[in-house]
Amino acid sequence: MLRNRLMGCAAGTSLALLLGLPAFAADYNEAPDLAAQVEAGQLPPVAERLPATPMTVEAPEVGVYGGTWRSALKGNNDEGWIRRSAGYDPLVKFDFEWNSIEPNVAESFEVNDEATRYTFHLRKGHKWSDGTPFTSDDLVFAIMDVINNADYTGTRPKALLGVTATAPDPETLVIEMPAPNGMLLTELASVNGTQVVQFQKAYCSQFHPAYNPDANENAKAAGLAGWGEMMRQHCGVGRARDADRPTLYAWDQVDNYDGIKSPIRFTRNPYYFKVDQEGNQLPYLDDLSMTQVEDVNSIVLMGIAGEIDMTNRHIDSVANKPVFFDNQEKGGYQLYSTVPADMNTLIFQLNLNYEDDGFRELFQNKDFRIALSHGIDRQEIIDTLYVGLGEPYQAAPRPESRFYDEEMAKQYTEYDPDLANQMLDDIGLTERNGDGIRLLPDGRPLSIRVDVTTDLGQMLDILELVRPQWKEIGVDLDARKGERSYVYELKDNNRHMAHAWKGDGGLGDAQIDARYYVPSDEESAYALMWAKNFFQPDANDKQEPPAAVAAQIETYKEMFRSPTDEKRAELFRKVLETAKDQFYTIGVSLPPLSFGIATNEMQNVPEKQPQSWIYPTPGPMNTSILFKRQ
Amino acid sequence: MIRFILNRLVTMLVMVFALSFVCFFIIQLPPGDVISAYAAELAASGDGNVAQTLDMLRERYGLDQPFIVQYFQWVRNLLVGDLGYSFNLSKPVSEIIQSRLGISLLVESLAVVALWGIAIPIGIYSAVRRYSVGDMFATVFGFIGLAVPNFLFALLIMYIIYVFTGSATQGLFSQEYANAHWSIGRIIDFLGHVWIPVLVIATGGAAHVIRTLRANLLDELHKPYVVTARAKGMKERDLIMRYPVRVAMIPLVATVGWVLPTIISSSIVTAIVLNLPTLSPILLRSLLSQDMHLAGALILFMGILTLVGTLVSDLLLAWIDPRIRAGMADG
Repeated sequence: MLRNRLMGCAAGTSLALLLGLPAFAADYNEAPDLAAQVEAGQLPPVAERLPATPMTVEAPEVGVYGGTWRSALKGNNDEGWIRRSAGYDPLVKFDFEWNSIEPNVAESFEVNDEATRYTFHLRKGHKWSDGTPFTSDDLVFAIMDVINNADYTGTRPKALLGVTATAPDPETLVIEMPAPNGMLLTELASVNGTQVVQFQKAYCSQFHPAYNPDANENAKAAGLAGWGEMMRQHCGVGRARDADRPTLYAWDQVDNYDGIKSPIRFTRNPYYFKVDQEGNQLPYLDDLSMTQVEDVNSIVLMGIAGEIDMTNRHIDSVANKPVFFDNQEKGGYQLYSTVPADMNTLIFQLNLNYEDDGFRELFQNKDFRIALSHGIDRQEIIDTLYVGLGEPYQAAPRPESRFYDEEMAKQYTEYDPDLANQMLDDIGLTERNGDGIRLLPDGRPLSIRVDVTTDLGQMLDILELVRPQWKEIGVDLDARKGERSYVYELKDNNRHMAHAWKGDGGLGDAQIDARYYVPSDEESAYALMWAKNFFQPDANDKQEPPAAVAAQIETYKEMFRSPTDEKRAELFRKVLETAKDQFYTIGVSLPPLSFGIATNEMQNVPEKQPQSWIYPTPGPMNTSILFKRQ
Repeated sequence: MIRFILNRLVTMLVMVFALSFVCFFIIQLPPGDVISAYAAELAASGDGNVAQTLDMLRERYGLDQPFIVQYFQWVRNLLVGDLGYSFNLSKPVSEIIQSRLGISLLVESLAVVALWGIAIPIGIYSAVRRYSVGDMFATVFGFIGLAVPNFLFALLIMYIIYVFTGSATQGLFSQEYANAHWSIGRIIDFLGHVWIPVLVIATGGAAHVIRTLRANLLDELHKPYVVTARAKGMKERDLIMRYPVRVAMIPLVATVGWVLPTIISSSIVTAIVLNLPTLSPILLRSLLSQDMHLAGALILFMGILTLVGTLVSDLLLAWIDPRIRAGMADG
């Protein structure tokens, strides 16, 4: 059988060579409905629709064509799930394990030694879903005209800002960096990288004033502020609402995602550039259908009723797991595991830049933070909230990560209220009020207000458990649950006393999302004003960090400039050394393996896939190889 | 009478203006604006990469202007029929309201009809057969309906349906009909779904109507005119329906105006739990994301509906009760 197939391939190749057709052309198979359309003359044959060298994806099991992938969107701003499930086809992609970067839309790429010049080679004959050629000109349009235009209001990959992109020929894209940047490939493979391949010049240029003088007027007539917003609505990622936009993805959007209509449907892209190991054009599944719901519980209910073919979005909380587990047989679905990229269930971030002198001085005292850390009974929290799953953990990369450092992960995690009390006494916080709460030197009680948002429910539960534990060491924890925009408004203006969030940056995202390891990000809530030296160097309100922190930020910058992975890893380890030593934040516990659900019909469902935002689960598995057993 | 109505209409105009100010003020109260809410939402989905564009958006939407300037801009636009633009849904507010008003109206009207259809006969029965088994049963039933929160009842129904059929019933349509045009199939599909929210909303309000009607009717049943009519041999059924019930209905009619704004607001939690494509979830979403124009338009709209409803109930009252009619003539 195998032999026959090989011979068939060989024959096909020689014939193709003779006719000047792309190799293997004769061997490609396609979905029955597409074959019918070819038969009827509505579509060109599959070999002409595919690029000269389609990308071959090794499917664990060769699938059959047909079926609809049913899932759910929460509310009207859940493009995240669309990007993850249907829209992860960047120039270069993460591999399944999140260890390396491999070609995707680009067939190959080269980087020069200084990490200043990146060359991408596209596939000959690659086409958009409307059948028109996809060329490097589309990419130059995306990078130069849109992403690097200050009027564009969408998100953009940081690494692409200020670059020069050129197209020496239709299959080549050259990106010149203004300064050495070794992280460009990572950025392009990450969740925001897809927008580089999302702007078809022919369609999207109608929203751009350089190509359409009326673009701004049209945007205003549509009720928008300017063309940049119009562009984002129609072509950008994060607000991809326009179903008319041609795409390179496996499925093409049918309905506008406008917050009103539900479900949002997608249908097979006949020009999709991937085939499986037997030459079957992907995707296997005909359609996607995403029901828009208002409440997570609706997704849970649909899930246990077996009406969601595969998802982990919004539902993968510890609290939901037993419900899903118990109903598996009845609902005809199964649970699969995911490895969360989060390294912590909750990170306490005392605001080291807090405006109140008394508290700030205290927060900046490392011994104070260590004492608070020793005052947390992490095992109790793990047993109570996570049915014993997890281990005490600080803000440090996960054990699965190549940056794992046991000392960093475990330091100060043992519960020792006596030691904590002793340390606080030694700091000089010996006075207490009638409730046993320690007093600051100026006589105010040591009460720490932590703002948590309402939508990550379990964080408040953790704080409620910590509250009595800290009371024993004379510290009052005032946990305030707030609507998310309120909490963020406080944080963004540096008016928060303390902030709590989950532990991002535990796996392959550690280097580019190092918010807890080095003040570098809007999300580095423990030292926002120091972090501005990295992410907003021209801000007026930034503050000069202590020497060790300043040096760390410099090392982190140097990491981005370094061309080789080894060098970047070495520099990042230095960053982590400083983080271990500085002990900026206090972690609680390592999140256990998480889960997703898939109906029994759904096949090629990935097991133990990393789960994070930057690695947009399940995208990197190639969702086009999912299929339904009939 | 005409004078009365005109008088009321002028007062209503003033009220609408006051309302518009209050609702704009309340929406602006929490710190932040739609842009910061949007940024927070992006950050929560992990996408915290937008800082550079937020200030620009803010400026373009006039969100950097003082409150009073923003308010007058809003009102000026309202007066020319421009309800503004929903940042969160990326479409004009009028389009959003239009697209869901019909279905909201339909669901609420069905619920109100069901509510009154269930509660009024029960209320009359309870009063006439006071302390009978039926009365007790109705009372218990009504209070259970009142005591069980609507969303819980909705969840319970969904759960029961799931247990018996193994499918998740939510929304007002099945997948295949959700985006379709109206057809016989779609109507049947709609009826198969709509009974849940109708039942939930109706049972939630039934106790109130039953108890009010029962109490009022009990007051009337022993009044001399009833006794007289009965003594003259009038048929019991006609007697009760024609006079005491009419009087007992007055407090209910007086509050019928409050039914109108419930088109948007009555069942927010129910609508969210049941995933109904009505205006209620949109109102909540707009408030959470501080989507001012959308929230403002919806709240103002509710306010106006209340005013209109009050006017309607006044007119109904006048029609039902001659004493009120007389009062109007004087005024």
